[in-house]
Amino acid sequence: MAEQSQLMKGILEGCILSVLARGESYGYRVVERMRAYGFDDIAEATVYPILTRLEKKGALQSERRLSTKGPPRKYYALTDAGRDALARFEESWSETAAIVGRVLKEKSHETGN
Amino acid sequence: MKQATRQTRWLIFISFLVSVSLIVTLVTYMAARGISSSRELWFVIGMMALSVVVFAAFTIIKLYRGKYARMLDVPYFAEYEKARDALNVAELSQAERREVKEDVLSMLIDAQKQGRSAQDVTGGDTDAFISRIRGAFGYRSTFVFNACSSVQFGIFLVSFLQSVNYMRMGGLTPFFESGLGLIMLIMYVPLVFLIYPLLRSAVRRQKPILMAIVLVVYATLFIGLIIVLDNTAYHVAWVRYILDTDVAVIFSWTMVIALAALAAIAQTIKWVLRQRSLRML
Repeated sequence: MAEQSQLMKGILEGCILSVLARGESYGYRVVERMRAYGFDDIAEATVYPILTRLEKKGALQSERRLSTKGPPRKYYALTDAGRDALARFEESWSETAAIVGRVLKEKSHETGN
Repeated sequence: MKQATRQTRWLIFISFLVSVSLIVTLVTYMAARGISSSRELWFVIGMMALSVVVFAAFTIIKLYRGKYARMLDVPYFAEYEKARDALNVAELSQAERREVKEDVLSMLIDAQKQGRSAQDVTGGDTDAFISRIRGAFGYRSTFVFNACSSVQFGIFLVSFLQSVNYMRMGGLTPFFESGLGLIMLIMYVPLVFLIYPLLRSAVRRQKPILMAIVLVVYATLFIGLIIVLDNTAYHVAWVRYILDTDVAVIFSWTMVIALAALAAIAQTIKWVLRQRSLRML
């Protein structure tokens, strides 16, 4: 269970880096975009700690900007370290996806489906 | 100022009970012991006034909503309040706390405008949400980390109480001789290492009743123990020694330096633990 949650944490981190690679954004916009990609149940409760962790690791940098709708909003953007981390994630994800794909394909051949 | 949340009402009620209890205790003390000098009278009156002022200030702080928090309706403010209270006892720096509070507020305002529930933002479990944020900042709730916090709290408590005692004596007794009862110092050990972490946990988990119960039970047990020892075992030499002896913990400048050094060491250990934790993120 813990391994599964670690795996999910890594996947979400990678996806958030990828979303932010397309342009800087703030917390709720990131949640919206993640939902649009199919992470239906994702909420700020999950995304905000990940954004904070990525910022502490140096993968993101943030800037507060005035908002007309409330307190200043924190906008996140990728740093060079973040771009490197995203490249590593894309590479390791491609390998993992290929391996899992092969395993599942073989299983469906064996069962004749 | 909008309608108070359930949590606010509870906290104000508990704060009111604590203030009333303190005043009743002081009045009982005055009635039982009599007032032998105007200095003592002024001290008691001062403590009563302080109790009322602290209660009034606490109530105003709890009811006051900042510029942006005023934009929240009650269910959203209730969620913000839970997060804010949990953050206030979280092991974060002041700047980090302020930053996270602002972010949570901003997220709740967005949620309210988009018609999503407040629980959508925090996931419905504020304690877990704040714990994840603490983790993201590199803080870990380890035994050593908490022990260091307790040591710092203990140093603050002893310094504060010795200062109060010094003022109670009207400055007639030198500060380094303004001792506290040995029995009180013994009481502070479980208070610092057991009750204090328990209270922080109760605040973080939004359990104001548990907080009040812990305080009342501990005070009752302690006072009960003193009464029992006083009535049944006062003839025993070591019991008499514990009950009657005053000890000035801060008895010299060397001790001041030693305690400051201890607090600094505790802070350094916490800093090292945090840095290690940040590297593991």
